[in-house]
Amino acid sequence: MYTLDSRSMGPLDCFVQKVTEPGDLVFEIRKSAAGFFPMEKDVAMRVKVKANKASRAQQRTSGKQHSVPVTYSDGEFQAKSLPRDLVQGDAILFHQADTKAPGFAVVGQMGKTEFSSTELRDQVVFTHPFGLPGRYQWVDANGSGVGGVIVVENEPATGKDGAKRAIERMSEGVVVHIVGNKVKPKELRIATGQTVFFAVEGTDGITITDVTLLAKDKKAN
Amino acid sequence: MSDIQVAVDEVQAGQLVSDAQALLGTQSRSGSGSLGPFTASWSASAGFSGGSVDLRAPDIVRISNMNMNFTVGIGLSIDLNDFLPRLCIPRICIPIPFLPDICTPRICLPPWPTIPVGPVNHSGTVNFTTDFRLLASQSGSNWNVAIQIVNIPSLSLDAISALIVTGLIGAVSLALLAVPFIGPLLALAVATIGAVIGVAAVTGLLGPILGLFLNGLSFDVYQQPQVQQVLPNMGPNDPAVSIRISALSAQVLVSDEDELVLDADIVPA
Repeated sequence: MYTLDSRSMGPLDCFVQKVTEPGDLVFEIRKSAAGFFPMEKDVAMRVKVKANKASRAQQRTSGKQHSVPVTYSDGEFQAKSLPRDLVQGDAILFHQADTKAPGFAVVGQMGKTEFSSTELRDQVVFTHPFGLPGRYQWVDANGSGVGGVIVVENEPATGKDGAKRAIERMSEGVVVHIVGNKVKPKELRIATGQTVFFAVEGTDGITITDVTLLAKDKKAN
Repeated sequence: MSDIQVAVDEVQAGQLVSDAQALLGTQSRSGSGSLGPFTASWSASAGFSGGSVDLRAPDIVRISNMNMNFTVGIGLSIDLNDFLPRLCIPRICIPIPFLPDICTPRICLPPWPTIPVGPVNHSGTVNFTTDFRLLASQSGSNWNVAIQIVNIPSLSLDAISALIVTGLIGAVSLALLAVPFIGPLLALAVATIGAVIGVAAVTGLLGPILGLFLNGLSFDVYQQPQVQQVLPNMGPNDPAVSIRISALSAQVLVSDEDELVLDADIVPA
């Protein structure tokens, strides 16, 4: 639940996809292990996206956010409610809050553009709060070479209102912007409990994965 | 008038006690008890050494400054939900290069875990003075003379408890460090939990633990077979001669010096 891996999102993570194409937006929410399976469009969820006459550049700096709460029951993930009035340029945020649910993934298609939380491609955000202090080296599990470091430190929370100040700090998000193979900032220092927003653009499909998980993957193989 | 009388002075009685302490060796116990609001599991071992003997009529052996050398390990589980509020990551809104503003929902973390703390081990010595009563008894084919504790002494444990408190709070801090998202509440958690693991709470646990080793404590200071051969077989018409100790009593007699006296009656075996 607390691990950093966009391939398998937990109840603390969020996945946001900017809707760049009009028409049908089709998506499935799956257990993370099935994240790479082809989408079954006949059973997938479907939302209409209205065309936006604004230019691509204007759409880039505008758009509303729509949230899709995800639930887990009988071994399946479901969208609790689907967004209405979705307009090209808006964004959809997926989050599931059940701490007992397994990791999940979102795969979908808008127009001819495919998107997936297991392969972050374009105008997509993966958020993850860091609960334990330490040095987290993250990499793209798909091997693009993209990566960075998050240093998480316990903020001194002693003295009057220390805990209050430390909790308030949790409401301050930090952005890591990834464009192609460029990461900014490459190294980031945050307080325990803070959330990092990995904003991804123009890649071939990357993951945000704690490098120690890949070491375990290799051992398992 | 007894058939046989054996007497030792206080110095010799001290040697008997010292030998008996060594013979008793190290005893071990384990159990659980209250440590403030927590239930602690513990294991302990203890042995005895030292002390000076003061014989007091009619049947008391007072041992001053005897050492109880002990090792105690205390472990406990702490349900952090008893101390900490449920933590939720607040809604976070932030501009992204391709979105004017993105807001995560308020995300509540799962309930806090129950963390294991310790066991914290401590070895120490506690010094006490108390009275033992002489007891002579038959045990199987032997006569035993033991000294058995009369009253459990009050032990001065606060200094030892303070060290254990330090160890426990250190162990709590260490265990807390591994709890996800406790960082902002770490200092608060250590302070809150530390406040209930005080010296009084540890003394309240340690006292009864050590008391178990003192309760009924006895040292066997003298042991002899009831039947003893006093003359060997010297020939066909001169068989071995044995006696049986038919009665044995132990007391302290005060004369020009205090003595531990054993009186034995014997009969032909």
